[in-house]
Order: sequence, then C-alpha cells, then structure tokens
Amino acid sequence: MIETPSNSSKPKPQVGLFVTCPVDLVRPSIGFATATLLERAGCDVHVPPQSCCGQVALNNGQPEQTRALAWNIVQQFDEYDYVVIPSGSCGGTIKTHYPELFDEHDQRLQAVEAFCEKVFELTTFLTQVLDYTPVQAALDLSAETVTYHDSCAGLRELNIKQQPRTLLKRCANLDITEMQDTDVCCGFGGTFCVKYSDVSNHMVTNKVNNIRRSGASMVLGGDLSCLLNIAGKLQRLEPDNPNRVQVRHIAEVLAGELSTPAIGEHSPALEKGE
Amino acid sequence: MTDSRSRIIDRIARSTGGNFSTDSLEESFKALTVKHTLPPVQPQMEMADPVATFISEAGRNGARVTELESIAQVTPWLRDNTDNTSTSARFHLSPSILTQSLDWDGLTTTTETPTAAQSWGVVQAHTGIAETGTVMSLSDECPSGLLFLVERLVIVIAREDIVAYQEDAWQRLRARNILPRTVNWITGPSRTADIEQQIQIGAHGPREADYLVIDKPR
Amino acid sequence: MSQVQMHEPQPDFIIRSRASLEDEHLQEALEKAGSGFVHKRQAAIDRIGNFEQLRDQAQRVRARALKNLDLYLLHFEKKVTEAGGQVHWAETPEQMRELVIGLCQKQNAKTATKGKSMVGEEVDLNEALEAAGVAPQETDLGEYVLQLAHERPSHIVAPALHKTKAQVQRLFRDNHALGERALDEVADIVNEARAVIRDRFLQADVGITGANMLIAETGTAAIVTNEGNGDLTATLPRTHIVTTSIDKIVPTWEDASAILRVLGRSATGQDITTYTSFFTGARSDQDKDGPEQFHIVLLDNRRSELLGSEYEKMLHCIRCGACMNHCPVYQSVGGHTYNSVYPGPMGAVLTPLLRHEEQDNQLPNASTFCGRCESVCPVRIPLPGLMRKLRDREQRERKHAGMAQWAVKLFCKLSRHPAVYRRLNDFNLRLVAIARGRKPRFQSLPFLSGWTRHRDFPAPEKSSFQSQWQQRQKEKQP
Ligand code: SF4
Repeated sequence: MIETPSNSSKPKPQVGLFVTCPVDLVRPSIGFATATLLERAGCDVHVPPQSCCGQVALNNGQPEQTRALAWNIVQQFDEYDYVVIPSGSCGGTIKTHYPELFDEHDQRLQAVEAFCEKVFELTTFLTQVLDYTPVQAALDLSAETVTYHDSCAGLRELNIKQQPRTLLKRCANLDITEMQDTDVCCGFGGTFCVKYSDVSNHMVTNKVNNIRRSGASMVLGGDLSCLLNIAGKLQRLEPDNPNRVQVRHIAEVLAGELSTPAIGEHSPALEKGE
Repeated sequence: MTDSRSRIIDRIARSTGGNFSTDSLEESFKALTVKHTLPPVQPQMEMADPVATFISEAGRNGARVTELESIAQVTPWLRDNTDNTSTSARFHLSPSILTQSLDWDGLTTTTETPTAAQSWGVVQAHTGIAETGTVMSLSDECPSGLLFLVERLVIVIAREDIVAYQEDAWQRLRARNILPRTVNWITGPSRTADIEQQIQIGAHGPREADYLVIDKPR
Repeated sequence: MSQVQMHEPQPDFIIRSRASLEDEHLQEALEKAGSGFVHKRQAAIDRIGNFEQLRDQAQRVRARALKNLDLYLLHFEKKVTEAGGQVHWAETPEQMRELVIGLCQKQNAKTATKGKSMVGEEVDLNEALEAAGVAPQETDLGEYVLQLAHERPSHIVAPALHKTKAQVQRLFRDNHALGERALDEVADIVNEARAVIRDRFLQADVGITGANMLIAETGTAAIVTNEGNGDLTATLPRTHIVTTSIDKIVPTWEDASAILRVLGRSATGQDITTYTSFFTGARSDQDKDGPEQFHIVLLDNRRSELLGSEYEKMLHCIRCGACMNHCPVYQSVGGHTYNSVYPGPMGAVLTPLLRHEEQDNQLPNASTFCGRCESVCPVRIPLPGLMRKLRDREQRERKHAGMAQWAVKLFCKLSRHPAVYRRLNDFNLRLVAIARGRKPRFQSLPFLSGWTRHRDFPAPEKSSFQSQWQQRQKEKQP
C-alpha cells in the first residue's frame, strides 16, 4: 500500500530501537508500529537485547543503580547511528539525566554525552532528523475528532509539542482538537500513581474529564505509561459505554496500524480511515 | 546575639571564601558591584514616547489619568470632580502641593491625619515610571501615610518627571544624594484578591487613584 | 547489604491528602483559584516580548547575591545602622522569637500590627507574641481571615486560598458585631475588614512586616503588596520591625528591579503590584513621617548550610508562588496537606531542608516530576531535580531499605542482564495470560492495588516485544 522511499544513494541510517519496558511488556504493537515507521522513513531498524532505562531507580533515590543500568544501555546501543525511543519519558531520562549521573572525573562521561547526542524520541526523530513525509498518508482521519495528551517529560525535557501534530497532519491528515490543560500531568508519575494513588486518581480524573469535554472519540499520546493510566480511568468510569474514548499511542496512527484493539479494548475501532 | 552573627557569617564564608576585610566593606562592595554590574534587561515594550506609555500603562493598572496644561488647573479639576452631593470632602495636601500658590477657594483643606470617608489626598510625585505606569513618592517630600490613609488619592506628576524604566528612576534617586526613609511606588488603587481570588479594588489603601499629568510647573 | 524490612513510610501526607480530597470546601476553593493564576501569569508574559530574558537576569541576580552573601549582609547591616536602624541575627526560630519579643517589650508594646511575613510564619511568631502579652494583629486580609479561623496559610502569596467566600462570611458573622451591615458581596467583606483593621493601624505600638528583598547597597528593605496594609504597618507605629531571612539580599537597586520585573508577573500576573515600598532606617529630621525605630531581624535557620551545597539553588527562591499555582498535586490537595508554611514544589524542597524531620521525607516523594513548576519558576530553580536529590538523601540516611526500595534494586540488578530480564518478562506474561482468560483488562491486580483501586489495567499482548521481534527475525531468515 505504501512504498518505501528509495532515493538512497546515501547509506541507510542504522537505527537502534529502544522500545521501553511498558511497550515490551504490555503493548508490543507500539514497538512494531515504530519499526514499521522507521523502515518506511528509510532506516534499517535493529533491536539489540535491552531492558529498563533506569527511570524507576533514578526517581526513587537509587543513583548508583541507575548509573549501572545507564552504562549498560550506552554499550548495548553504541554501534548504531541513532537510538530511537517511542517515549518522551524514557527519552528524557536518557538525554537529560544520564549525563548528570556521571561526574566530570568519570572517564565514561564523554562516551555518555556522545551517546545522548544520537538518542531521539520518535516524533522528534521523524520530524527534525529525517523530515519524514510519507508519499501517501497512511490513514485519513480528517473526519475524526482526536485530541492529544502532551506527556510531561516529553513536553518539558525534550520540547515535544509541535512534532506529533505535524506528523499527524502528514501521515493521517488529522488536525488535533485541543483539550483544556493538555500540558497538565495525567497523574501517572511512575511509582507515584501507586504510592499516592488517591492524589493520582484526582489528577487522572481531571485529565479524563478534559478529554471527554473536548468531544474527541480518540486520545493519542507519545508515552504508553500515561496512556495506560488514562485508558484505565476511562474504562473504569464507563465500563459499559461502547462509545467511550479510545486510547492509542501516536506511533500506531502514524504507521496506519489500527488493527490491534485500542489500549484495553476488545475490538478494533476506527478503521474507517483504511 | 553577636555570637549568632559571627557564626552565621562564618558559615556563609565557608562557601563564599570570605575574601574581604570588614574594615573596608564599602570598598569591597563597590569593587564587586561595579565590576560585576549586569547590563540591565528591560521589558520589551513600546517606549518611543515614555509619557504616552506611562499614561497607557497606568490606565491598564487601574489609575485614572488626566492630562492638564499646568498645575494651576489642578484645583479647578478637583472642584469639577468632587461629587456635588459631598461638600464634606476634605483635601489633605502634601507639602509640595501646599507650597504651590493654588486657588483652594471652596475646597476644604486640612493637614490632619486622614480618617473621614470623604478624605482626598493631593500629592505631587517625584518621578513617574513609564514601564509600569508607576509613580514614586519620597517621604521627605510627602508623608508616606497620606498615600494610604485617604479614600481617594490624586497624584500630580509633571511630564518632565516621567522616565522610561526603573533604572532611570534609580538614577534620579541617586542624584539627590539623600535617600529618604521611605520610597513609595504606587501603581493604581489598592486592591486585594484574598477572597476567592476575585480582584477587589479598595483594600486598606485608597479606593481610587487619579494621576494628573501636567506640563512643567511654572 | 541492606536488610529487607517492612518499613512503611510515615503515612502522614497520604492520610492528609485523602482528607483534603474529600474536603468539599477546600476542593471548591481550589477549583475557583486554580486556573486563574495560570491564565493571568500567561497574559502578563504575553504582553512583553522578552520574559525569558527577564528570567535569566533574575536568576543571575540571585546567583550573584549568594556568591558574596557575607559581604552583602555586612554591608547591608552597616547601611541600616548608618540610617538609624539596627540589624539583629537569629540562627534559629527560637532566637528570632526571643529577639522580636524583646524588641516589643522594650517599647512596652501591647499590640503589634502585622503585615504578611512568611518568615514570621516559619518561626511561629504569633503564638510567641501572644504568650508574651503582645497581641499580634494581622492586617493582610487573607492573614486576618486566618487569624479569626485559627489557621495557617495554605499558600505563600494568597494565604487564605483554601477558604471559600461562604466560610469567610461565617467567620465574620461569628467574630464581628455586624448589626445591619451586609456581607453578601466580596466588596462588603473587604469593606468590613478595612473598617475593623483601620483603627488598629492607628493605635498599634509596633508594626511587624516581612521583606521581599534586602538591598545591600543602601540597607533597604523592599516590600511588595497590593492592599496597602504593609505600608500602614511599616509607617504608622513608632517602631517598625522587619522579620526576614538572610537569603533575601540583592546587591543593588538595579538588581532589585530585575527581581521586581519577574515577581509580580509570576505571582499574580501583574506587571507590578500596586505598592512597592523601600524602607531605609528610621525616620530622619527631613522625613515627614515614619517610625522612630527600625529593626531588621535576620533569620538563618539552616540557610547558611545550604550555601555551597547541592541544594544552594533553592536559596534563589523569590517566593512568587508560581510553582504551586502550576502544580497539579498542590492543586489537588491544597497547601495544608504539606503541613508546612512552605507548601507546593518549593515547600517540598525547602521544608525537608529547613526542618529536616522524618515526616518531611514524604514531601519530595509526593510529585510526579511533571516539571511544570520548573518551567514557570522565574529564577529557574530545578525543583524536580532538587526533589530527586532529596529522595537520594532519604535513601542514604535510611538504615533499612523498605520493601519498595528493595524491589527497585532487584529490578535494576536483573535489568542489567537483558537476557534474564527478557525471560523474566516472558514468564510474567505467561502467568498473566493464564490469569486473564479472555478479558481485555483487569479490575484488580495483586501488588498493584494502588492502581486498580481507581483504574483498570489492560491485559498485555501475548508475549514481549523482544521475543516477538526475535521470532520475526528468525522467520525472515532464508
Ligand atoms: S521556587 Fe520558583 S516558582 Fe516557586 S516560589 Fe520560589 S521562585 Fe517562585
């Protein structure tokens, strides 16, 4: 259906795909959608053995543990031209916080900094490094009302705001219907949502109410963790509503892969665009 | 508590290095602040005509601004603007206004502490700052309390005394060589938002603030 | 090696947050205040073209002030003295209380009017004054309401933010002889307070205010207000006492401007507050009014220890409140939940540093690290970064690792061996597959009850991404 652009006299970029723990465990389809997208954009995609970026340890008072994990990742991915991550949160952990973990006397610091230079969150990589425009849009969602949740780390550590909107226009002919407070936290916050579950619940309830008020039938985002939180709340609030808002990762829409049911849902939704 | 003082200073010196002599505080201070003077960063705004900016900013911040030709017009303006029904209005004048030979005929002036509900303050500002539509009053020219105790404050400001930015006001202040006990900056009427964050004009200070912008006093 | 122990964190914040979430009045008040601050700040920033540069400048000024804080403090003291005032130094809250009470007693003061002072709150000044026979009279409307209600501020700029109009009306009815006077509108409430407080200004023996800045150049205390109460407090009584802290120093008047330009805009969305006042020493012969005595009481309370430490940047804080106005946790639970005069993100950092009590360890943990506070802080304090350092400190100081910490460590150890990690994941997923049957999601999960109490959890797909990918690569091989 969509052909790969093959204007390549240049060697293809070799991309190491770092899928993140939640994608690996809960929703591998995001990983495959990401790989498909990168291949369509002219990259060779590699998936070396990988585990966690260390964010949980970093945010829970365990800098040594994080440092060890970080160094692991640097070594595992060092051979690629780029490292691409379908998450602003894990991307932010690596790009913003890895260099802080190694002090200036640590010989590894230089390698870590050089590594961070080639690490990119997916939508930033597609827009700013590749300037990816598909020959033909993967989907046409122009008739749909879709809103977008700007996840915190992506927004504030990596400045991801326009990138997803640009890509959704290019790949799905979609203009986002903005919700109120799109830049306010959904209340996930890693271990926060379990430790401070009532506060977290209050925050995700506000988020979900803003999503519903936007009139959207689908909410997209760039971080699976936030999306799990949002989907879980939407489904808890309206277990029997077949028309409740659907939740998906942006990579799924950009790749045109809506055959997998939306997060936490039974049956595929919104295939009209095909 | 001198011990506390030296202990606090010692702890701070652990981090700053404490490289100065207490006998030459002023020299050390000057060396530091002159050497490290930061070039000012001022808000980007229209400033071709500071008086015009002053008037628009003051208006936006809740002051009522009127342009008059000269100080002689201040008392006629007061007469026009005193509520006809409230002949009980009493005008509290700052010394700088008092010394002007104005025609107060028909207006009740006083130097008492303002308490009545119909108290007006009439004062002359030292400097106006266009950046925020602010007027500056000095306690060796005008009692500071007067600015706050009256119901309605009328501030006379000469066009020549309006400067563009805060830094310009500091220069004028330094040029006097005397720093009064109180330097008051006033921008509009007093207000509060302490009840449900609703802005309510007229808290403890004046409920209304009029700026009368005049040409150079005779 | 750390031992495995069931060591629950003190549940105070969590328990308090539950109560706050259920408090209808509080939720109503938070709702009403919520986005107002955010929008007003944004509008003020949009009116000028270079707010980011103003932030940079303010940050430079704060850094410069701390770099030679000892010199600036001593120069400040010298100038205050030359202007007929006096500077007093307090290492601890207790010392500050003693100093202030001593100054009041020297004047035989029976009453003291008070402007808003967070340092005064930090040292519990009101209770101490009362016990010493000096009646403190709050004059800031918000603080006055709280004095009637016997409550603490819940916000550093808007102290009574947690109170609804209806609650204030009730307080006034109970405490004022109202007679026929109406209280329906906010204007009525404000007028009522104005009338009651006006007399106190004129009669007080001593006026106590805080300070937003101390200008080293001339020994000047700068105070920023909107109501005018701070000025009446500072000007009318015979004695003016300023309760403040050593970190409030800025070197010059120009430096003060750099702070003023971001303070009002960040706090209330005002280009500048209605009143900005600069007090230097006691009244001189030339002055038309002002107090005969001027005292500055400087509090340290561990601030000097933060200088040069990894937490130094917290001393850059100019107390604008923008971080709490933009904090989704603060907006959910309100300021009292933090059990400190300093709530919200700045309090979550400052409270454990100044007070250093076990219960304060919860505060830096009660954050999602969403980073909104840092993105609005006018002096760019890396609040989440500092909270993260405090989480590290908590773990370092802890004798026994809790269950959760132990789990994090184990997870990290395993994660360093991706093959083990992958096999573990696949094993978990198989368990999940058995458990789920045909359900698309779970309503309850062991170990994740904090999650499933409020939301569903989707059933994972059949096996991990890494396994599926490997499988796919194998199939691709010719
Ligand atoms: S930490 Fe920053 S945003 Fe918060 S009160 Fe202090 S200066 Fe304002």
